[in-house]
Amino acid sequence: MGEFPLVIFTVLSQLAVGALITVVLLDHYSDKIDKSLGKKLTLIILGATAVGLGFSLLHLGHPFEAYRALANLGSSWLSREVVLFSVFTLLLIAYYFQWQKDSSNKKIVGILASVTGILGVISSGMVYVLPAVPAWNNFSPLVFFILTAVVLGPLFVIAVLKLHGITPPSNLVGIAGILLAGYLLSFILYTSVLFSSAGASGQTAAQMLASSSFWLRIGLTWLLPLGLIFWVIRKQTSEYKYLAGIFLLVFAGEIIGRYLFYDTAVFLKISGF
Amino acid sequence: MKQKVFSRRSFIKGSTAAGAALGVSGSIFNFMFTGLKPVEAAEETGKKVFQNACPRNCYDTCSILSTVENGVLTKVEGNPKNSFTRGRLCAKGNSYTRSVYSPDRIKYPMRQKGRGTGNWERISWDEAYTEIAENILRIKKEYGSTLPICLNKYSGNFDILHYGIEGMMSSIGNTSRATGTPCWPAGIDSQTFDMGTIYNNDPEDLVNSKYLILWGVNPAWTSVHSMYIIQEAQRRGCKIVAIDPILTQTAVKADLYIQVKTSTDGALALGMARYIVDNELYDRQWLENNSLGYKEFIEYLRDNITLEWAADKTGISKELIETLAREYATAKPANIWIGYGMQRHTNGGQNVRAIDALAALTGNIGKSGGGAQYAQLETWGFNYHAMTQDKPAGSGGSGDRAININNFPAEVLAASDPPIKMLWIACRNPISQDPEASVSRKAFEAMGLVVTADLFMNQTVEMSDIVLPVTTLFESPGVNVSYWHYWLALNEQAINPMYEAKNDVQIAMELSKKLNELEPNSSTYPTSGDQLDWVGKEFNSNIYDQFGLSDWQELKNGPVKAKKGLIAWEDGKFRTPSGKYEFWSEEAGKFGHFPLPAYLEELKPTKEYPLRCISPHWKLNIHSQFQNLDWMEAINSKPFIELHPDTAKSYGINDKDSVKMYNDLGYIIVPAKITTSVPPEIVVVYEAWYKDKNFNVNFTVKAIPSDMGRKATGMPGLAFHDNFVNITKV
Amino acid sequence: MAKKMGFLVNVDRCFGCHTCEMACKNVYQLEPEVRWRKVYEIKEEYNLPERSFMSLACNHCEDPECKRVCPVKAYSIREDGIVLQDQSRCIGCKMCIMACPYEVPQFNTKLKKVEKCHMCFERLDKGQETVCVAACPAEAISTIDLEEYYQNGILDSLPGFPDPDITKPTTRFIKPRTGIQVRRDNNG
Repeated sequence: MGEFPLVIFTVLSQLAVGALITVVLLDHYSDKIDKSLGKKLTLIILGATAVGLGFSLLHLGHPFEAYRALANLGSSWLSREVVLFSVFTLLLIAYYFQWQKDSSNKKIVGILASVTGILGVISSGMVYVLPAVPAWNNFSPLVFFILTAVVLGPLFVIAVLKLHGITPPSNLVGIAGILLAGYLLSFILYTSVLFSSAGASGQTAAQMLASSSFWLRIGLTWLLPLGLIFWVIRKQTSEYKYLAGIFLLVFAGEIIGRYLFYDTAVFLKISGF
Repeated sequence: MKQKVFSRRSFIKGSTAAGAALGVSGSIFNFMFTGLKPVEAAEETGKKVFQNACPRNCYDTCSILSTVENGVLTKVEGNPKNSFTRGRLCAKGNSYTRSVYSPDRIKYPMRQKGRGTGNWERISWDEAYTEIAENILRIKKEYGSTLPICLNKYSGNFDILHYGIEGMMSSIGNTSRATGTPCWPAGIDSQTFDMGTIYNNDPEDLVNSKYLILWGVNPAWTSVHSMYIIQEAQRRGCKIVAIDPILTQTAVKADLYIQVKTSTDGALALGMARYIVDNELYDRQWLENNSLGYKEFIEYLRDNITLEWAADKTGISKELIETLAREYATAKPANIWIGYGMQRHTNGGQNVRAIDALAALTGNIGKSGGGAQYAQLETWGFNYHAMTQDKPAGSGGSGDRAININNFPAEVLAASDPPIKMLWIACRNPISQDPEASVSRKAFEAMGLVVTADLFMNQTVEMSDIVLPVTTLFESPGVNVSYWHYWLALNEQAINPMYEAKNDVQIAMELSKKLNELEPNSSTYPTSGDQLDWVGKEFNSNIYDQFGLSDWQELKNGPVKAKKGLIAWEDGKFRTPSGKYEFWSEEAGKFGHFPLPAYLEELKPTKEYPLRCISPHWKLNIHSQFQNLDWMEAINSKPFIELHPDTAKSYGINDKDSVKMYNDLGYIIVPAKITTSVPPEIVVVYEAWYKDKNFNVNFTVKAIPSDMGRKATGMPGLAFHDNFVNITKV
Repeated sequence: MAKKMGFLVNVDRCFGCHTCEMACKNVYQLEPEVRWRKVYEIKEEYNLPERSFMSLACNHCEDPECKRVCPVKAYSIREDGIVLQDQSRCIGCKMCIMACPYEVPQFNTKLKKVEKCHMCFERLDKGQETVCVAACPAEAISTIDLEEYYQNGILDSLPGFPDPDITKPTTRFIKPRTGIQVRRDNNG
């Protein structure tokens, strides 16, 4: 688990971005979120971001010199990621005060924060687009990081709403289900492309498939939650335990999935395999 | 000697230039001193360069320049003054700073409560000396002599001052001594019978060869500087032929590699000789003038040797034997380098004699670019002052007792009247390196006291009662020569001894003092003396003459090379009884050998143990030295067994599978490395000591004597490579 | 014209003795696990699986990935093409370790920073050879200016060397010749 800090950072930051987008959209399209809940949600999102960033520092040899990572915006996606998430954090704080003040700029700030967050997630993905890691050297880190955000975010907000006795909009669960199904399809596509390729990519796929965590992840992220979502929609129920359960399953699946992302990546090696 | 004299100005100038060149910040230089104390300020940096010499049991005996800053050895380099090592070292030599500063070094004397328990306690040097001295005196009183005390010292450090350990034993009386050598005795006897002694051409002369056969030798791993000369000869048009059962790193660089069946080298040489004789390619003139018994040899060949037989024995086609023989006999000058590995067989001595005979038949001996190279001791004519000590008055026994180093534990256990009660081990790791490792342990267990002087906590130290920390070559002075090249180098003390380490001569002096305190006149060993003076006492007029020196202190300017005698037997004065090259050696007959180089049947595998295990040298160690260092572990950290793909397949073994290699003596379990560099009937496990690993190939190696060795070294050699085993996947 | 310095590795001369990497470790007193230069076995060709070697340090690429991904701009390229890493800037994010296709940058667990071969630029500036070049008993390594140097049969890759198109390494190779081998198995 050498990359544990990065697992936590990427999943939490993506969860935060997805959740923020969901809050901004809900705020615009519905009246489900009142001031106190809006503040609370924003604080939780801010907290997740802060915890994530904190963990990201643990990955560094010299955490207190992290500020210097801003130096290479010209070519380093890591520099860009640091800038974008720093700005994202500041905008989240601003967003919180917009809720506090019931400001008319709330929507603008929310949109700005969301866009910055999405760009942050994209830059997180781009960090891993490396020719030295063939399994990553494509759209997959980008696509999967965004999918993590847009799947975890709504599921998280749904659970929080329900916790506060608010029934989430009925179509939101459906949308989350569709996104999750799309995630599964793209993951299957990616894995089969990897599996059919030679060299490091093929090795990555082989390592993934050989790992029991991989199958656990398939179950946690997709099979169980999709089944539950299907069931919840079928039964027209919105009990908290089911909605929270869906989120927790996917969240756990994503943590395992991200661990596998780092653990099964095969780097180009001198003298072959 | 250790004062800070390096020009301060030049250091500052150097560091300024470096900072400017970088163009960023100076702090990038911090890394240069990681692992050492950072240099605080340029003013404090005293930097001095010392002359050192690598004392390992190795052909190359490199001349080293060591840089010492603030009393810290910061780097080693080859000394460019030595034209054989050419300012270069090997991987092992370049790891020396790590030996010196290894966290694993034994730092102070320790006593173990129960051998093999690891229950060590730190003791003072005085406590150690007292316990050892009391034990010696008790033995002497009980048995009337010091014969129950046995020394086992050999090749861990070939610096001449280290013979002071033998001197220490002499100084207390008659003792038992591990006698002989595991390395090379059969070949020494062969060349002694043939020519009177071992004597090779200056290896730098290899470039003058037109044809060079590397016979059972792997200089790419065991003599990297010779390998350069071989490749240089190749570039100048010399054809390089490697004959070896293993496709060694040297063999792949040859123009022609011939995979001979193990231990049949003599059959190949005799087959070649037969072809040379049949085709009149021999040098009749040379043979007439310089040899004895060549007609008898030719007769033996005609009566007993055919090329078909040789082809059948060696697994090499008749045509190839013919080609090889013709090429070798017609290229002038043609050279053969005979390795030590190929004589570690029950017929090794006879095989070397047969190869020598090829060189003599073709008149290649005594010539630049020619010869049958094995080794030389021509440059070893020291006084052995440190070694030569008088026995104290009233020593019991009539002389030292020889214990065969090659069957050491069994002979130690069998010794009687008086039995052996105490072992002193220095410059050796017998439990790791001797055959029959389990018997070694039994012998140690039977002792009253085992004292080992060493650098690291190896298997032998683990079975000792008292361990004494010794210095590295940088911590005490000495003088070194090679058994291969012709350079002589001073070894200066470059740094203070680390921790409480002491040099072997110092240990001898202090032990002597303690003995005489407890019982006056019980040791004749000097109790004081400057070690550098002792180095000077090793020199004599012959050495000065040979090396063109007027005083040994001139060596402080750098190593020197012998000025004469660089082409072996150039004068044609062989040191045999007849003064000629002896195909027919009465002397050999006296030692029970057939007087001619005749074929002696090789040992063959059995049904139960169908594979031959060869345990040669590994490139990252010399015996049990170096592979234990973490710098080596970063390159390779574990032993393995090399198997041919066909062999692996027939045993159902895949690469990296765990393999048990066993015979009636013992077993080892190591991962498989599948490679076509070994033939199907052979497995290879490199002999080594790995730190914290219960690995020892000698668990399976029997103490089978080789055919020769008794004449020159007192004991026969060891047939290390006649080890038959079986394997199974575990 | 600016120089373009690179290592020329003569695999024909190299016999895999590891002296180069140990000499480097010795002069720069590297941590035990850190190897600025490494000797790799060439596995895939020549029918001599473990007997040909590639001695590799930093390839001082024209298009270094380490430099591109480093967030603190610790990497720079000198005028002569040597890729330098300023360790004082490094914060130990290990991006370069992930990005280099040649396993060159290495993490120093004591300093918690990355380090790598700098082609002994100080020594080169003084007109001396690099440590590895000076130490190699086979004289199998040299440093060359790619703008000046030309020799037939120089390769920019060998089997097992990751695709040079990614970063344009300046390391060049001379491939090994093989003598005649008479082996007693069926593969000889």
